[in-house]
Amino acid sequence: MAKASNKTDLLVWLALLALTIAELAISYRPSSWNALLLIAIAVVQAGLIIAYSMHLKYERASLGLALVSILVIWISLFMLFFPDSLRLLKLGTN
Amino acid sequence: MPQAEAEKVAGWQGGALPFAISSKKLGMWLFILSDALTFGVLLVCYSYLRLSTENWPRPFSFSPDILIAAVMTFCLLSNGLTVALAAAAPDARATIKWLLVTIASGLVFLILFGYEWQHLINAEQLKLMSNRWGVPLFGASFFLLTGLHMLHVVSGLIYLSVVTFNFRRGAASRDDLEVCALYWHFVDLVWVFIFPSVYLLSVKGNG
Repeated sequence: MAKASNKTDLLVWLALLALTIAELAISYRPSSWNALLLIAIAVVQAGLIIAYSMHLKYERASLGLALVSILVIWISLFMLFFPDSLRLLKLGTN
Repeated sequence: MPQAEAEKVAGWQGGALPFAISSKKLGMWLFILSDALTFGVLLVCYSYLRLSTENWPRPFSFSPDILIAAVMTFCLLSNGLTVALAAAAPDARATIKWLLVTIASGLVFLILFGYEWQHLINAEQLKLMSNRWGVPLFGASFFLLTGLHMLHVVSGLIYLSVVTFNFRRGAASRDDLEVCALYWHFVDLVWVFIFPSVYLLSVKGNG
């Protein structure tokens, strides 16, 4: 099985650092899109770590497919609870 | 059916190694699967509380809070690189050297974490069930989420130290190192979500 080379590991590390710096810059820019942008960057960072650092890119596809279940559960939870949290905010019940 | 295609099909029909990885690695992936669900649910809970609370506190100033959290992020991401270099090192001496660098950097992360907590508890009066902003759930969710991650870092350091010790005396293989590295990368993975959602979305004076 092929594995990531040291050069790939180094490039992934640099990309992760660059994305972290981008997150810092975004968080100090007043915008209503900050939360969405920060989560999007975190998802890209997570993708890099899972694919290259955790070597999922080099494993059999069936292992990757087995892990998709988590993604489905996360998305379902967010879809379920986010609208309710906004409803609660509108009601003003702290 | 051509032989190459037949082999590919046979690989999907299960057998001793349906995922073509060792049992130790499969065990670690299953652990990561369950732990990812735990952290996922906690992050959903945190986001729910944050969104539904109108006066959610924004206590993190650039210095020292965000600066310390950024250095902690740098330590963890660099740990990911050094543990990968340890697993890929050509000889045992280089492997142990990179493992020790990883452990040292993990310890720096823990020291900064301790300093950060101490600063928030003493200077910002942030307690588990109370704080000066009148939102007790903030302290409870912050300490639960970051505390559970800290527990994972401590466990990871103990695991890494045991594997390093065993590798040095020839009782651990490269496969054991890879499994340990897998856990360590998972600790990184969780942090890349905690850093923006807990710290960066609650910076002082923004929003």
